[in-house]
Amino acid sequence: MKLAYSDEDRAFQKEIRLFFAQELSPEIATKEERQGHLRRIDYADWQRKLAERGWAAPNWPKEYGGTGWSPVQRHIWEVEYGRACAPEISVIAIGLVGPVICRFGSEDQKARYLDPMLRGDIFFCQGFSEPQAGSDLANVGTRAVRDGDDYVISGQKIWTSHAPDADYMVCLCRTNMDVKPQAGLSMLIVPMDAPGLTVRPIETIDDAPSVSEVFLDEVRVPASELIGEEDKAWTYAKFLLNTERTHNAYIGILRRYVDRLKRAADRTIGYRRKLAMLEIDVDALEWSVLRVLDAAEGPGTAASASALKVSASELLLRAGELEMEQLGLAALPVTPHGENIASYDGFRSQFMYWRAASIFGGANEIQRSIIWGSLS
Amino acid sequence: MELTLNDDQVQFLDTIRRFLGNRAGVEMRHAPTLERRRETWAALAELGLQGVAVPVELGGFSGTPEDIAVIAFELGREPVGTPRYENIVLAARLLGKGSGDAVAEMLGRLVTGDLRPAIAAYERPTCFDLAKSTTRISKADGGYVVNGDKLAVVDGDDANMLLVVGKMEEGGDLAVLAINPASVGVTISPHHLADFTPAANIRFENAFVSEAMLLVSGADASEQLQDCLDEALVILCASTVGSLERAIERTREYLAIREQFGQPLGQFQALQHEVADLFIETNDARSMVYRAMSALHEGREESRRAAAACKVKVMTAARAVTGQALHLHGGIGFTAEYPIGHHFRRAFVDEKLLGDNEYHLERFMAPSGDEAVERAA
Repeated sequence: MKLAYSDEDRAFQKEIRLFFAQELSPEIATKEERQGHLRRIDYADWQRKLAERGWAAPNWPKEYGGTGWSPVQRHIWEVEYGRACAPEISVIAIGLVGPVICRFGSEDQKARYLDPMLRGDIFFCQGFSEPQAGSDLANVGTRAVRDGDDYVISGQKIWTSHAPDADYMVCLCRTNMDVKPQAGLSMLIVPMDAPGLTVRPIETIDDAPSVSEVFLDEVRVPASELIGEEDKAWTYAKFLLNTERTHNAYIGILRRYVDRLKRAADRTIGYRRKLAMLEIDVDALEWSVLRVLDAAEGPGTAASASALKVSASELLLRAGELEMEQLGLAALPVTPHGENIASYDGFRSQFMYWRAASIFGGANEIQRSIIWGSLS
Repeated sequence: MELTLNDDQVQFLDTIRRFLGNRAGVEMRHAPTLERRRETWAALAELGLQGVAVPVELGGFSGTPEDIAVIAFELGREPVGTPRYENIVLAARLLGKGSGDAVAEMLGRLVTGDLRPAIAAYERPTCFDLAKSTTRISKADGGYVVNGDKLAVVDGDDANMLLVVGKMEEGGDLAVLAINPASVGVTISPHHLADFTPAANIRFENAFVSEAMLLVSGADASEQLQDCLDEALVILCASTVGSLERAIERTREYLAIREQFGQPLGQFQALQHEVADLFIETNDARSMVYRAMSALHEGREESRRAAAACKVKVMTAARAVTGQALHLHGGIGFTAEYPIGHHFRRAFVDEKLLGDNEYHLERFMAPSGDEAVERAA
């Protein structure tokens, strides 16, 4: 164990800070910080710059366009990215579908999807949750039935982020009714303009366009859109949980919150103490993230990854609450999303949005059960 | 940066596991006897652990904070009868600030286990700012005389060398001196702390120390002392985290065997999730120790803040985790016989040693160099 940052790490940090300073437009950074929920069109330019630099998907294997960075470098990247208020790009494509295609997809899928994903030419949403399959994801009921060279999909997805922006949905479907629930699921890529597919945005407490319902009524997709093998999707989902184990830690965004709250005016001593405790807890979480990035796969690592998710969701709420305290009455007036960037609407919207953090990505109680299971 | 253990560190870990394994079933209901403590002290020296922080030239290992923390994490797992490793390290670092043959000789004796040091620093129950020390060090013929009262000096009852913090009468700078406890004018009132850590209150009345025993002095003394204290408190935190990890294991084991309502307690989800929360707290506490160790390699501003934050984070976790682990044991957790209560006692004491959470949170919140200038402007 040797915990000092090396000169190479420092140089790397400097290099990416410089890149952010030169390439990230202040307008987009401001929009990301003050409004949140950026649309695809907002960051198309930024994503292209990242892709040109080869930094669009640090989490992918190098041969498919990843960066080959060490865990420490990835960690530095995550923190600096958040601090710079850079918007997260194509989160479902880069964070979720990409890694699964790299690992399990056909050569044809790799050729058709990976490069356009990196450049932001195609955009994905995730069709996992359903009204009856939230925390109990294995209960997915959307059916995909083989019909000649096609699958015919019928069912309903819910809590789908980015659906109005997406060209494709990666859809978790039931392909086998005769086995235990986990063993009968498949992943299919469904074009959003396919006949029979309807998107209906859900109004949420954050007053932002965050999630939608997606209805599938006999939607027909070619069998070549099946990722990997039929009935193996649960294995792929577990693979994803492991490769993307630090995603829900939002460490960059937490650092951004601490930076911003510290810049604001001093309030009471009680407030300053709460802020100090938040900063201390974020400092600790930052190193928990690094430890998980660095760790080998195993039950201990799964428990630590689940711990990150619970800690982060609680810290995001605390950070948002401190910000709302700081804003006072200024946090109250509502203007339509994105119309007045100078208002405090976006901060309130983000604070409201983080209420979802203890729910999405596996509710915190699911994470606690995973932790308990790993201790046994 | 390297998060996995290197070969030396793996060896330290194995050594301590064997050491603690051999002591399984050790009597825990009372403070360890003097004989037992001396035996433990000698055993640690035999294993090479007393000198890890001592320079190689003097027979030690020139260990990094990481090497030392690996040892502390593991030693902390057994909360009773194990020496407080942070003090051994603090003694080595403070002696390392001194010069001359006599100091080198003391460091050599630390390695062999012959030297049993104690740090006499704090004086008032809730004052942890040593700049406010009321212990006076006055110039005398051929050396200094020391006057002051020290509280809760860990291992102070059986030390053969006291490292005393005080203020120079002339100039008012802080200083650290090494005093033989057998000297005239040194009065030792032994006791043990709430977790059976042996300790003493110590009074110095015109106690004489020769010039060569002045270890830290001058305008930079308080910063140098703080460097040593910050490392020591991170090491203390590492041992606390070891204790928390063991407390969770013990709780997990207990929930598997204790049955109520016809099933093991571990079948109840309410309890499973409570244990998960203890894991989450402890996991982040361990991370904080890593962060603080990393900061020890940075400049003072960074290491000061990180060490203070580390104490706050780890001790906040310690209070919650050991308290809840005790609760999850039910009535048996309240008995002195069962080990879980000792983890609680240990955490209670750890929180107050080397500065409590109030003190360190204030330190953390104090404006850093740039901010202070900005505010003054």
